[in-house]
Amino acid sequence: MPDTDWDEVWKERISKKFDVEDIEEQTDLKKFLDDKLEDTATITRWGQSHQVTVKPQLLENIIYAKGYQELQKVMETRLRSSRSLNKLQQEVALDSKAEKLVGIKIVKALQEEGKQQRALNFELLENIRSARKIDDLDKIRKRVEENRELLGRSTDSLLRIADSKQETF
Amino acid sequence: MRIKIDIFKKTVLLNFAVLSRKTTDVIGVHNKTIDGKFCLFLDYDKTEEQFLKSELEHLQMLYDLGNIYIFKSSEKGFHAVSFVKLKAHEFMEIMQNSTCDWAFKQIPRFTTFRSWILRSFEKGDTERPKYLYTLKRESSRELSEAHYRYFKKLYPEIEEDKRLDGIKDLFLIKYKTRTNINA
Repeated sequence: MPDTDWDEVWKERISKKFDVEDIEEQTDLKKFLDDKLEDTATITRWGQSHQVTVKPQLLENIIYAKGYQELQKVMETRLRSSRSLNKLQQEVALDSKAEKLVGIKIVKALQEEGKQQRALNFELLENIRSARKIDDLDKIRKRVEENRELLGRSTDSLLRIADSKQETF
Repeated sequence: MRIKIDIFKKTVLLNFAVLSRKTTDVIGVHNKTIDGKFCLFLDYDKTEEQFLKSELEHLQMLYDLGNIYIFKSSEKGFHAVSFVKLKAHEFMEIMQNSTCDWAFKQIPRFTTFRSWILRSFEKGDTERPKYLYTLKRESSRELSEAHYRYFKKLYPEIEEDKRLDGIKDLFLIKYKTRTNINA
C-alpha cells in the first residue's frame, strides 16, 4: 500500500439532514440520532470524495489498519459479517490494490455461497472496471460470450458496459 | 507542563503537553440552514462568563441578533447561540469580531461542509451543554425554525422565539474527538 497519512484521510465526518418534526417525536433523542448517524460517511482521499455506507467502527478499522495484513484481517471480518456482499464494493474506498483484494474476496465468498452467476458477473464487472487497454476488454468480452448461459440476462449488460469503457480510452 | 531554565542571561522555556489518544463519538448540530444561511454559533473555551456576556450584548446590539442563548459546555466553556439567519459574510464578520475559540473560527474552512458545529450531547465524561440563560432582544431578522425547534426539544426551558422561517430541516453530525474528553 502507498504511504498514506490515515489521520489526514479522516477529514470528513458523518452528517445527515433531519426533519425537526421527526426529532421532536423522539423520546430518546440521543439514541435516535446515534442510530441514524451510524450508517453513512464520506471519506476524502487524494482530493476525491467517496460516499461509503459503513458503520463508523468498520470505517475506522479500515482507515487505521496498519499495513496490508491488518487491512486484510479487517476485510475478512467484514466479509464474514456482511449480509449483502455485493454492497461491499461501495463500502470501501481504498487504493486500487485493496479494492482488488476486496473484489477477489467478494467473488470467493459468492462462489462459496453457491451464487456462481453473481460471482462471475461481479468478477467480470471488476475486470472491465480495471481494464486499461482494448486487448483487456476483448479478452473479457470473450469470457462473457463463453459464459452466456450462466450469465443469462447480464450478458448484454456486461457487453454494453465494456463498450462504454472502451469509449474512455 | 512548562520547565523554565535560566542559562546565563537567557531563559529557556520547555513546554510539554500530554495528548489523549482515546477518541469518542460526539453528536452536534451544524449552523448552516437548508437555504444557505447561518445561525449564530460561537464556542468559547477558558472564558469567564462576565466577559462573555458583555461581549455578546455588544454584538447583539451591533448586528441585530435577537435572543442569544448561553450554554455552559464545560467548567470554563460556553456556547452562544442565536437562531437569526445570517449571510455567510455577516456570520464570519460577527465571529471575527468575537473572542470565541481560534480553532472554532478556522476549522470549518478545512472541511467540505463549510459549516460550524456545536456539540449537543455528552463528550466522554463531559456532560451535554447546560442551558444557563437568554440575553433577550427583539430582532427584525428571520429565524431558523429548524434550529429553534431542535434546541427547544433539547432545552424546553429556553425562551420562545418569533419570526420563524418555516423550514424544518437541519443538518446534524456525528464526529470523533480526542480533545478534552474528560475535561
